[in-house]
Amino acid sequence: MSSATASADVETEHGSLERLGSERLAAGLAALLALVLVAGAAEVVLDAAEGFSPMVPAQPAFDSWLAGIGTRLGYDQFLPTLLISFAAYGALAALAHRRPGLLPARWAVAFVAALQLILFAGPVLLATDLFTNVAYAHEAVNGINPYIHGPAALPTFAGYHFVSPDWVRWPSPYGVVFTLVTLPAGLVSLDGGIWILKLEGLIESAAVLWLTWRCARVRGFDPVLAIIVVGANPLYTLYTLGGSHNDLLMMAFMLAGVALLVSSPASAGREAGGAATIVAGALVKATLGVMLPFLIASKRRLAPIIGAVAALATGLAVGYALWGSSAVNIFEGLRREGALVSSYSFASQLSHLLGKPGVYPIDHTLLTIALVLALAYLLWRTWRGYDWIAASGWAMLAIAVTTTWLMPWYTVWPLPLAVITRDRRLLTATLVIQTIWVIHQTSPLYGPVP
Amino acid sequence: MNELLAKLPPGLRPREREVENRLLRRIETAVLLAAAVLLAVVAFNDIFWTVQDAGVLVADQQTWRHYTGRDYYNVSAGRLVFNEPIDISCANSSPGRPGARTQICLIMSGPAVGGLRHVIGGWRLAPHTGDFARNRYACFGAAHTTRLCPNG
Repeated sequence: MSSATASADVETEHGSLERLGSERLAAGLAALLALVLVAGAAEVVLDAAEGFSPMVPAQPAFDSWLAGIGTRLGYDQFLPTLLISFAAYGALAALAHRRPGLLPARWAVAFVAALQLILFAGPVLLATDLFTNVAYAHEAVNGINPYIHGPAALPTFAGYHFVSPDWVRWPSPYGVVFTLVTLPAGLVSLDGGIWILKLEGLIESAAVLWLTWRCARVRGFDPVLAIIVVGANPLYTLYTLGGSHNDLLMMAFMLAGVALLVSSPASAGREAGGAATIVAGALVKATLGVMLPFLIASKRRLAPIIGAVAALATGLAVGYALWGSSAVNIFEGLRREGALVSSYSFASQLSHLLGKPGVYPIDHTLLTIALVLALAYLLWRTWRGYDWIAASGWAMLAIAVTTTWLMPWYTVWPLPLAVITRDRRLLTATLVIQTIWVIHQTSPLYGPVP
Repeated sequence: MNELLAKLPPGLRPREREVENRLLRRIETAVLLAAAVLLAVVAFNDIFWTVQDAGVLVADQQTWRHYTGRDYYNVSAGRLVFNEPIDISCANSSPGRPGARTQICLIMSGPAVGGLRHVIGGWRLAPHTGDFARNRYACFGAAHTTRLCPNG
């Protein structure tokens, strides 16, 4: 063996050792970041189980077996945990992106599943919507039309006092598919109804993650990265799953439709089925309807149009048969919510920057014009060959940014689409918006809280 | 359908795949960056706005407790006149659920000194009534001079 060959062997061995050391370091770091996320979720759940706080709505003690372990979930506990979790999530996603194959698939699935189960086991977090939805289910089961009457029409319902006073007179803004899916919660006691909706939320979340995995694989992306970006996102786990929001059901339909549409070989049946599934999601929350123009502009065939129209006609016919014409007006909920203003919204924050006390009707009009222009531009781009899935994601992000009624779980909508598209700007933009939103939430840390 | 679309002018025809256009991509990215900067600025401004506002509202609550001699937890506080440091703070006159007893409302102005603000007027409200001009009574100070209490 010549000295040059021996030297090359030593160098190769040295390089391999360095790579091995670096890979072990990266794997160790990934495990640490995952541990931080799991610990953060566990801390939030255990502290929330101690009872009412600004982050934990008043609720029956349906999960009292968790009480006595944590401390009351105040701003001082929740907001630092949210910040640390979000930073750990960003670092973990970046690591998984830079080193494909670093995280074994089984490991990633177990980690994401653990996060979902922790949130499922705990109390309802950060919103009272779940109680309102149980109330709508009880109304429907007791012969009261939830599309005409708010929970106030059923004051004898045991969960009435857990519904936010802001919503007791509001009829259901959601579609007929959501009302049908939640009906079982109206057949049992309050605690049973809460568990049913929490279980539905868990199943929907599992469906979202499975379909994200499947779509990522079909489209040639790393499925491990995809489920980590979606399933470990703190706004997805703590807020969306923590509150069992129906956005999970909407996203599950959205991804089921996308999965049908990206499967090969493409067929008219799959295109019609995909469009019909997206319409079913729009009959949970009408927002999802924004995907249809992009799908139709991209495919330019009759099958998706026929599928969408058939699904819409079927859904509305069922809604009309069960709850009359009020269940058919699918845009009424959007119109009502669109008129509201949340302090979370960028529109509200912008009005403060401009020296105004809040959002005026003219601002609503300007924001709507901005949104319509953005959607028209995206539609044109799709017509000229841009990926319709990416365009749909941008559209959802545009809705979240321009709405005056922004809720944190709205920023999650584009996330599963962003991880299955080539245009990485969508994922970056979604995560930037979420980061800004999370930082904005931390204001109680910097001053007194009235 | 495709035959019909093929009759469109080339600039309007649909495409199966987009043609790479670096200039368009750069313009889009620049617009997105500008939007992100704007949103970051409005969010950070709002944090300062909220923190400053929260400090004044806490002083309002403390002032109400100090002035009335009632150490209640549920004391509301908010701006009475936008863009002017005049606030209103209300709470029950005796223990009970918020709004379930006669309310004492105080108008406050000026900066917080030693954590307290200057009380310049006020009124009472009957239980379970909103803070509307028609419901106010037993008014005093600036409540009279600023016509906030038409019924006295």
